[in-house]
Amino acid sequence: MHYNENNTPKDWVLKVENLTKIYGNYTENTIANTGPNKGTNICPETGSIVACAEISFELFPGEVLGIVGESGSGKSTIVKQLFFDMEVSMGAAFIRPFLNGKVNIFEESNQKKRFMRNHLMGMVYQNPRDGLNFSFSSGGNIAEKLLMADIFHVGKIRERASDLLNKTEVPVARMDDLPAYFSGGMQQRVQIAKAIANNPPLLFLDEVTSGLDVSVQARVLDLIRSLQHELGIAMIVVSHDLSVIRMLTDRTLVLKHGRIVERGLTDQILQDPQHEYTQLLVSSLL
Amino acid sequence: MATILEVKNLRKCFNLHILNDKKIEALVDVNFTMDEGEIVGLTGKSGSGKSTLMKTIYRTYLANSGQINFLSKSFGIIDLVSADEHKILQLRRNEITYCSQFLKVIPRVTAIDVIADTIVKKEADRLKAREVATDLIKTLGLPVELWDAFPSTFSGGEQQRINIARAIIAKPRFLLVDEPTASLDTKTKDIVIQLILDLKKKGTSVLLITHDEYTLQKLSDKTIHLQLGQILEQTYA
Amino acid sequence: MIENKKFNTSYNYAFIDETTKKEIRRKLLKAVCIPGYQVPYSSPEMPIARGWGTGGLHVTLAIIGKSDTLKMIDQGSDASVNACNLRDFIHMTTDCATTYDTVEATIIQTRHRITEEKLTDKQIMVFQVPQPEPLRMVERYEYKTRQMHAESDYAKMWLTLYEAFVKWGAVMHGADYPVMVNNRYIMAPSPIPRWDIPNLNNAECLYLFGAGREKRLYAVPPHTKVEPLEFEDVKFHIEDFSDVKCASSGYNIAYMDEMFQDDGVSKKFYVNDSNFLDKLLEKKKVIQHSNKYLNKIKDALQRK
Repeated sequence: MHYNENNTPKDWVLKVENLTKIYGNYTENTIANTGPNKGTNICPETGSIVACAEISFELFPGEVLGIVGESGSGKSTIVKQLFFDMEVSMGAAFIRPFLNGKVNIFEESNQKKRFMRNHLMGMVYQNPRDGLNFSFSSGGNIAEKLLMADIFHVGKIRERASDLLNKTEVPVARMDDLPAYFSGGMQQRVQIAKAIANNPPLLFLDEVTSGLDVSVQARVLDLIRSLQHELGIAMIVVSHDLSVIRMLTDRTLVLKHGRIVERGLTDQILQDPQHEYTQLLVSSLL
Repeated sequence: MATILEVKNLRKCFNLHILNDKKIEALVDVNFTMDEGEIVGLTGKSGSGKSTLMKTIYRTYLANSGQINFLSKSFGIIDLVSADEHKILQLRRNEITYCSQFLKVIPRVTAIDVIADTIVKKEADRLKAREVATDLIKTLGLPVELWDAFPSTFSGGEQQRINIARAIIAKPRFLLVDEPTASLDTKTKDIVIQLILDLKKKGTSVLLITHDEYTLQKLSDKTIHLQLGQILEQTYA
Repeated sequence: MIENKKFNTSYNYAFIDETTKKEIRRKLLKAVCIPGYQVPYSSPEMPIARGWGTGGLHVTLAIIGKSDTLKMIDQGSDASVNACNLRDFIHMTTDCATTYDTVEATIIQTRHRITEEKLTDKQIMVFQVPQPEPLRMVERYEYKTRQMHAESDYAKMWLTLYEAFVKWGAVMHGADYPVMVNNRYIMAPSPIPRWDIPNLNNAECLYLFGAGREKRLYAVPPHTKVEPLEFEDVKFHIEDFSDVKCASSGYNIAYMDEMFQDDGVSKKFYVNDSNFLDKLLEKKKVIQHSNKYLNKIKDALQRK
């Protein structure tokens, strides 16, 4: 997707309203009793855990949104709920390509959710085992995504799979190898190839480089960045590492104890952080 | 000529919570305007608030109060202080370019690609973008053997040339540039000055921070002198 | 109230008691209403072990009546041991007529074959099914396969076909090739050869499937669309016997059995459907199935 004055996107591709996830029973006070002001995720009354609450934001086409926070801040929870890996406690989300964004995607039937997952979204997990099926070849994993997107032509599938593996710098000769025989970095790259196979308008990246060696991490991040330049996909990048956020994102949400404490342009968050916690995070950059 | 930028009562105060809420007043009640196609120079002693002002206009810093009314092609007159992030991102892509004082090195990207990347987003053809980048980098006199190298090891002057090339290749409508000629020798200074004048001929408005009298004299139609976060005086060329 | 005669006479008509027959019939009706959907049922105990045709038996006994004529085939043959045993059992408990002739039968219970002769709208074919779940080879959990059917999530199935093609150069399944019924459910047609698959499509007769061990019933009503799973560029094809001829009749447009001779090397081919072969040898008139794959083979043969 390329930008010129005549092509500026005027409207969001994803809109999230009041997304909330609470484990356990909760009352109307639970949300008020938890959060960064109270310094805890656990409700003192009911013992329930507020993983994330009152999360609202919009994502425009071609934008990269970073979600940063420390462990337990709720960042992965947001993305997991959007990808239907997890049930939602409260809140709504709207995707423009699905019924023009007029329908709360969390209230749709399983079949429709599956359609959205297969056609409109891609997800890359921290652990390749979550995103890849280890009993099929890596080409087969990509083929699965294409088959789910209703492409039933073997020749086209092979071509597209080779194309994607080239893009993600995985040797095409290894297309028929099982992912178990790949290194961690290569598994991640196969995961990325699979996630973008159907050209989704939305891509979620959940801590994709945590746990990789530094040089491997660099390569994967460079790949993501160049893919984003080339394809203009709207992405949500979840990371606890501010340098990843700095490298990839246009805008950032800072999470603490399940709430958004600050939001803004990434360069502004890094150079002029307003909230106390953000200032603490930024000053902790190595 | 229309007013492209109107800064009204701009105030910026840094509130450092982790230093026990220490407050630093950086800009106090700044007011000025810029016309389309004008080059405005910003000078002042070190710490007077020049970079802060520029960064606040670019929204890297959040202003505490005041307005920065920008005449944009996409949105008409828009207040950059209160505009939402999406609009700012679009303006940054299409109309406003910021050239920092030092090159923020993007790791593992060659010099040519750093420059070409700006227009790859717009034109999709990497080869064509690289051609234009090559012409520009030739004009700026960067040695050929450096074109495919990573800028992190270049000298300050070489890095700055790449930085400027990256900013002007996009032919922005509004250019913010911080110390464009600081680390350059006289010959390259003239080349850069000429490049900025060429941009002005094509209609770019430029806000320029510089210490260098020579540059100021050659370029600015109007100079704003800052002191302690306030405008001391505005002089005209 | 339905009188249960179980304790008054030795066995009820058709062995199964009326209440259970009612349950099986209701499930069959449901199966007919949802072509290709596997309906769970009670699968009552029979005097035959599981894995020997109890499912087919359940269906036949639930629908058979005194005026029916039964034909029983086992891989095309009326005279195999199991076919004979089942036929005798049904005859003993129902007193119905039995026949070897495809045209005379009203109910045909079959193991792993469809007859070569075309069936009419007055006939019902009952299949014995070992594994009713086509997705079992890709997903071992029942609750997950049920969800996959409910949500039409068949990507894993397609992926297996794709991987087989990529590895071996051909989609390998010889028998029990998965089919899509009515554009909705993927169904296991029981281990019939590929030759028979096209005859499920748009048939005049009713096809009923019973899997006793797995306790599932399903059905393909007449004039229902049944298509084998194929890719746009890798298509389904049936076996081709045009190179060989039946050693008895000389016919070659039928599914053939391959018999090794006593020398262990040479082979002879015989038409598999025994009643069809008998009719060919007696030079009786036969009306065979016709479908596009068969027609192609016939055309190719004519041109030779």
